[in-house]
Amino acid sequence: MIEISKLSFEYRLAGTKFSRVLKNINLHIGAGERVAIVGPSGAGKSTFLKCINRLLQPMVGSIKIQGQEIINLSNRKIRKIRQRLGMIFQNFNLIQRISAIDNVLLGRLSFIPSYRKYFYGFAFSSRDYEIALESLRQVQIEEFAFRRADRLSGGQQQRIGIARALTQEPEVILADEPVSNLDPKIKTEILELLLSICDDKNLTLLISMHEIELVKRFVSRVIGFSNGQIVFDGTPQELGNEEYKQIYS
Amino acid sequence: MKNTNKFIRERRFEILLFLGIIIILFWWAAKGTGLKIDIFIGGFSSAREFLFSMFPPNFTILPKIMPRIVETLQMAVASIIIATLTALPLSFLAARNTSPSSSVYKIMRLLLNLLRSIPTLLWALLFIAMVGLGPFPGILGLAFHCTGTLGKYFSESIENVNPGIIEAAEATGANRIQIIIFTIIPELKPVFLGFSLYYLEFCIRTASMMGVVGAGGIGMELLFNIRLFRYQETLAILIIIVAMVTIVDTVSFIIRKRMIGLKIE
Repeated sequence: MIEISKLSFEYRLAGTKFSRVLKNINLHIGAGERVAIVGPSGAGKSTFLKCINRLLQPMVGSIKIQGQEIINLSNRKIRKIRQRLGMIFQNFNLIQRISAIDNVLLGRLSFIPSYRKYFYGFAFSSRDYEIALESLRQVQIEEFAFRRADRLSGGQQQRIGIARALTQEPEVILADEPVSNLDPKIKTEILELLLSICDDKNLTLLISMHEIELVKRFVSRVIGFSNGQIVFDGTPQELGNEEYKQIYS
Repeated sequence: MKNTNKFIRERRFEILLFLGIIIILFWWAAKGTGLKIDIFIGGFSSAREFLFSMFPPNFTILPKIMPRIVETLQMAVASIIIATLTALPLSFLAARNTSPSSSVYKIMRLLLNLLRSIPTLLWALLFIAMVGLGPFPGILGLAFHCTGTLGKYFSESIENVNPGIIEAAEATGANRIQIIIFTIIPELKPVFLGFSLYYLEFCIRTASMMGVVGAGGIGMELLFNIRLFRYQETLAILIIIVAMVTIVDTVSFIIRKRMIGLKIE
């Protein structure tokens, strides 16, 4: 599904100085896999996820999605790829002043035929609305469809974030610390929901998170990042104290 | 302890330095312009006569000047609509996070600064030379100046929008223009409308003075009555202008509160 080789990413600091955030990442992720990405803050987890849908442009390396190389794709083509990769964010990233369903509909933006692409209020078809409502139903928040996003709790907002990604009808979910800003009880609820949806739809899931107990409960594969490099790749059972220390050293 | 004392000393020095700079600046400005408080106080006796001659305000001129009042309002409404519709697209080109390139950004900033730094009355004089006397050059003058000001405020709020919502829309595969239309504009709608309503009030105040240079509105009547020493009529006109501004201000306040979603007690 996702084939990554020799991937490196650098942030430009002042002048000619660079800070290497990802160093020579090689990774294969199969279709339907559920992969947790763990590691300390600043290890490159978020950068890694954002390289996969090219919100960030890597300098060297190759990323293939179902065999298609995406590193040098044009903007138009990369938008077609992004359709297939739903993303969920730590801070939910909802538009606060519009309703839940209007936020969820944003997942349909790249599907609008070009003659009504820019007509606010006329852009989405009734089928788009149906898909959006169906997504809200899947995250069990349909009753709040017409409530403003800023009137909802953190857990509810993240459900909308998930629904927005589902509305793209994606093959892959990239979740960038989706439960870090939620309280312990809600963390479990949201992860259970996300995993069951991925099961239903047979989606590939890449999720970065810090909660090791939950990682062990929910995923089948763990990748440990430290200092921009992969230092662990295995099952949750293989992740013992020694390995844990190595990741979080 | 030693560090704390140093911190306190520095803090006090900063405050005294700040006050010192203000005093020196004011002294420089006042000396250069002949600002003298005793002349102002001495002027009260002559002002009293002038003020008394204004009372009671003569509202019998109301039917005669009514068309001019309506015209003032119409000038303000037309110019704020033109200014908002022009400023909106320009501001996205003049915001660092949405501008297609840094040279477009710089050129647009420059253009907005130019529009804004030329005062409304000056713009109006320029347009009188172009299209002749009347409310039309007044509207153009107001619209040009307000485009510059609104464009600056709009683009600054665009630059401060939560980058997360842009990133989220980008991740769905939306293109640049869609991101503007479907995420940034809905998020900033109340901010944009708030600025426009605020500048509607500015336009009414300024449109009231446009007549002085012959660019339409109530200002011509005002000037005319002052020149003829008709102070009672002048006061009536001033009261009407103040009332007009107050009404628009109140209405726009209510609308802005509604927009942000706060209830009015």
